[in-house]
Amino acid sequence: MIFLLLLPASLLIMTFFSYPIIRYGWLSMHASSVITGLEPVYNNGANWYRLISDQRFWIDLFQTTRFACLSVILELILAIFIALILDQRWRGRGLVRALTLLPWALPTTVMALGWRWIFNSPYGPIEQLIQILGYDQINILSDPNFAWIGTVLADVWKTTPFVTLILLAGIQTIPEDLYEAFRLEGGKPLSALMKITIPLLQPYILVCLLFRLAQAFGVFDLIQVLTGGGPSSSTESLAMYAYINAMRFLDFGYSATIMMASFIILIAAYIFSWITLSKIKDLTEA
Amino acid sequence: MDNTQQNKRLDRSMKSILRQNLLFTILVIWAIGPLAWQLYTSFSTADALINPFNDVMNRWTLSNYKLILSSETPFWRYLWNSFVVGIASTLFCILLSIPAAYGISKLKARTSSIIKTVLFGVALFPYVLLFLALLEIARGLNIGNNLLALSIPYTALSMPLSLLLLSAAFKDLPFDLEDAAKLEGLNFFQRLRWVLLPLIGPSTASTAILVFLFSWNEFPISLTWISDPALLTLPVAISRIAGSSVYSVPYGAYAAATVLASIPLLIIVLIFQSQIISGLTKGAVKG
Amino acid sequence: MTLELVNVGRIYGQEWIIRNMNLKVSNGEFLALLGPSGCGKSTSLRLIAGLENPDEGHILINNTNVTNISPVQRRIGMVFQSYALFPHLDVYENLALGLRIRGTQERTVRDKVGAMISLLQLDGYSSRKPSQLSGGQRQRVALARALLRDPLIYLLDEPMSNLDAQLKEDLRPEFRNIILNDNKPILYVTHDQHEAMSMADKIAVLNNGNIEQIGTPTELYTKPSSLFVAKFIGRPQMNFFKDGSDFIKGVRAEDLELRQQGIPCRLSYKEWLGSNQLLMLESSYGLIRLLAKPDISISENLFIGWETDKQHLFERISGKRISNIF
Ligand SMILES: Nc1ncnc2c1ncn2[C@@H]1O[C@H](COP(=O)(O)OP(=O)(O)OP(=O)(O)O)[C@@H](O)[C@H]1O
Ligand SMILES: [Mg+2]
Repeated sequence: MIFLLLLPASLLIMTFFSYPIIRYGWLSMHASSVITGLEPVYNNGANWYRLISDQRFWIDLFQTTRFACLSVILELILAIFIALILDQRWRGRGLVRALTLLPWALPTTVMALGWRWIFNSPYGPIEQLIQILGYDQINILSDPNFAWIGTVLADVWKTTPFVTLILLAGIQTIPEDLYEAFRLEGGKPLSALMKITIPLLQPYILVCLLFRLAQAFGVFDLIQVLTGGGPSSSTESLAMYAYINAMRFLDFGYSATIMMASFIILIAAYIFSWITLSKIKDLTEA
Repeated sequence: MDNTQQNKRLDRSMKSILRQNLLFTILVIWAIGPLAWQLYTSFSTADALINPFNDVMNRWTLSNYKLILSSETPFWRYLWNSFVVGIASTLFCILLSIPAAYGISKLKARTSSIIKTVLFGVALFPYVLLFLALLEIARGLNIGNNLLALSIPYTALSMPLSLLLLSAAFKDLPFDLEDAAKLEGLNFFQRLRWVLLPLIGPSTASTAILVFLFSWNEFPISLTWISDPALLTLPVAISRIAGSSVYSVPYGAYAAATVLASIPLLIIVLIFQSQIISGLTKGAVKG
Repeated sequence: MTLELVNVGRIYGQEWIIRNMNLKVSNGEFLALLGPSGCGKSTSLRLIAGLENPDEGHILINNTNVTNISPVQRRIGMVFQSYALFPHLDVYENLALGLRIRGTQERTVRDKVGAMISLLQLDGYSSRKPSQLSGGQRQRVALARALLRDPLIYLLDEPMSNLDAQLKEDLRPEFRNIILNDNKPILYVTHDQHEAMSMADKIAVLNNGNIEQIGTPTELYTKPSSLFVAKFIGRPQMNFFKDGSDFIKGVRAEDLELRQQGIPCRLSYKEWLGSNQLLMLESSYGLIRLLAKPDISISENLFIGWETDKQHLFERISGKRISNIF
């Protein structure tokens, strides 16, 4: 009976999550491109050798990691502060909460287009402001050294509200008595933050970290619309590289290899951080 | 003496209120500043955008909106497409999740916690990486360029979160309630209809809204499954506009498009903010 | 009409939660199932209702084996420990739901529910949600729902446990009358011996999933069949005297007497109970409870004893009662 209830949902999840991964594993051992007439032909791991010596892959891996780590860290720090502010009782808090949610709810492509206009040179507001202040134009999105900062900025803007909300829910589960008891013992507000709020918030922070890191590692829409991966591939992410390989170069085998590799790297990163985290935990508890 | 102390205290609380208001203002500007800028842009003429501080003849205009609403595929068409996909995938997802979530909540504690861990892991997965295999499925079954078909992967991708939320909702129901209904003679479907569903209503609503938002915003799969210009969903249509010409300045039209695309979401968020928040936070806590 | 349990047993994991349960309740009989928390009272009710299946034995209703029959067909009126009222429905809808599902005409539903509402003095509350009711009102709604089920058997799982002491006492006779009026077998679960003694015709004392003794309240009090029952029934608790032999003597506090000579004791403290006073005495047998007249003056050191025909004798190892032949 229960089995029957679970069946349709499990089939759907299997088809759309497990099948692709198995398929990528298989496809990554095959050449399947224009050369083979888009028919998969076994090529004895050639895709993987190519991947290892493919500079663009490693650069993209670095760029993706840089993007993911920096934006997630910034988001978390900002979100903790904002959540602490929002937790205070205040008239119109509901409206403020709804407004802060808006950036998260908007389609990524919509807001990416918006940011492209904001970063536009020379007519966007940032450049205009810089001109008024009398500085030189910086033209952030067309500078290979800085364009990625623009992508981080846009992502932080979009996702901070999401993290904030989850942390806010966490803060609200902390009973008020704890703070009162702490005050009675002579604790200062700042040390209450460090000794009560942050430790009790840890599980929530962890969930956000896990979730956001995975999502940021798969970044696609934002960069696709904001910079198209440019200038000169300086903002390209792994997902974009896989996309380009499949859709522009029609090299399905190699595209699958890139995605399989991303997948493995992601899992490895999770296992690694899990072990490190539990080590740290052991150390602090000892 | 007493008075001055009171004054001091008053002073302090005034200060803290001021500080708070300042922080809130920063927060609101942060959140809607970029959107407000889009709104301003969408009503501005190209001249006004290029020379914001000079006197221009016609500063305000509706022509940007006229342009995108009267183009070959009028912009409301994309809104409609996204709406269709969103509603369809929300319906499918909720309909399939409810029985399964009920099943999960009835499993033995160990089994259900294993299932939940797996679901959580799956929900974390950056689904962008799935696009190639999904594209192959669409080609193989010849279901590209079909909005209803597009809602199937959306249903599947939202399913883990939806199952987590709904099974937690079922689990939270008082233990005896369903037994009481059984003794009253209600069969499974009657229990679902008259007792269980009304009680998990709020959780279902917040789950449904999250699923809808997901499909409304989804990009890579829609990008690869739909090529017919009349069937594009909103995010893809927007990205096409963006890709059309990067260095010219039809930004007024872009902005008009983003404003139109934002309005439905603005309404949804304002109406359902508490459901969205409770859905998100429960998703985080239960997971 | 009768309810009968034959050798019913239930396992969770490796553990027998209920073992060898034999019971018989007939029409209009009020049987209380009494036992400490976690001894399997609720589980026995769930087995009878068909919400769980026994791992051995069978259950008979009117001499028909219903062990493999669905809960609906068993026609059980149950009041749950938590009341289990449907929180989203008001009182009227809570009561009407089952009737409608069972295909009752809307007019009949109205009449029956209306009659039940006035029988249980819930007039004026019919459009309130359960959360807007007091504990006593909720309990009456739950009872009304069970009555409207027109059941073959009533199963009541600690229906008073959420009420305060005063309300419990006030509601007891009313509750008993209403449900006895229906003249069906009634199984009433409680962990409150006072409640069981004052309401039930018969009491089954449950310990760790086993029935220790079934009998009338008087039988349980005057002839407890084991140490467990003797300890569990009667407040203050029975005194036990272990003297190294194979027997344990039990004497109730009110059967102990102050004497010129006997077991030497020292007064530890006393409690004033109004109609009498409870003396706590230290002796070589440990703490002894003695109920004395309220006006007696007590000295620090005293002696106690008892009439042998007031004494209960138990086997030390098995805890079983030995019939008094002294
Ligand atoms: N689903 C279950 N799995 C394992 N053990 C259970 C389960 N349900 C109940 N038990 C165990 O069965 C025993 C009997 O439970 P039951 O609910 O029948 O007790 P009870 O006598 O009604 O207690 P109370 O007076 O507290 O309501 C308890 O020890 C409990 O821990
Ligand atoms: Mg119980």
